[in-house]
Amino acid sequence: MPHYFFDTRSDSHLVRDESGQHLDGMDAVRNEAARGLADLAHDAIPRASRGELAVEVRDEADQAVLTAALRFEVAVVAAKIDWIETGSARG
Amino acid sequence: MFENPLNRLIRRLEVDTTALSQAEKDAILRLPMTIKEVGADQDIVREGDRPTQCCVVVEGFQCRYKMLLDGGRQILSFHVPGDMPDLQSLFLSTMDHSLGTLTPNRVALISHDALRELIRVQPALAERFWRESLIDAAIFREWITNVGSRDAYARLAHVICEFYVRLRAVGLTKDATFDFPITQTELADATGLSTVHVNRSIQQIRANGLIIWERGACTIPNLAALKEAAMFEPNYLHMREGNAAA
Repeated sequence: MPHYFFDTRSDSHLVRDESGQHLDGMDAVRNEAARGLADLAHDAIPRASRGELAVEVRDEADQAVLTAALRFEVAVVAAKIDWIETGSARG
Repeated sequence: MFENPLNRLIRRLEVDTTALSQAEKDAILRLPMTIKEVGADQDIVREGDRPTQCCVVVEGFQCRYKMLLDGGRQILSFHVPGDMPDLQSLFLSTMDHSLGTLTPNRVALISHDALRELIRVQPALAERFWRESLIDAAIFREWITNVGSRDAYARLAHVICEFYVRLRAVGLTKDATFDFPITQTELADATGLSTVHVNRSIQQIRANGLIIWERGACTIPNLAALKEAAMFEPNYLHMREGNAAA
């Protein structure tokens, strides 16, 4: 199975994947990159009001093969909303 | 020291409470068993099986896991030498999860009949095994907390901390170094993370000097710092004082 490397980027901070993964085909690569991006978002979004996240996939020849990217922004659009202040919502 | 493989089990049973009596040790060491060598990534028992024996890990590492219909795997726990990961099969006849090896293993298989006879002649051992199954459940509670509430960095640091403390308690660490031949995909399956995010987070844990992890061996240069990053409190392992200390 071909070997792919998943570099991850949070704004300008790049972490290079040195170990890589053996994956069978582009569907698997796409799935792994998307899951990785979702995990990056899970940890990053609560901590920042804006940012750019990406998973950049390379093959063994160091050629870029796929990018999954997300730009996020959390902005207050009304001065005061009571249900945000209470911090919990029950349905 | 470990001429009888079941000395591993004795050492394990003494991690959380006082020493076993000589009569209890002798009864354990007299248990009839089958020693088996099992390769890496092999199942010991599968979900749905009705085992007639329990497995003691003598050498190597195992995990309990569940497979989903969509092919996903959740690793529920890691097991180290001395553990009896399928002890529950003594009373719950059908396996509700699978037990498999992570690395090549040597295991000791003991029949349920022999274990029942053991606790009949040494009833205090029944309390020990009961206690083990309660600690097993305590570890699951901690893993639920880990997967549900810690971020990836702390979650992975926590798994490494626990692995180290459990190995140290059974005498299988050398100073701050221990065998950690776990793949990033296995760590991902244990923490509910993608392999991509495990790779990134482990590199950050490394870059911050909390672990040195090369070729299956891990060193923790500063255990207090790793515990802090992991929010690790060893109370749930219910080890005797000294076994869980920093």
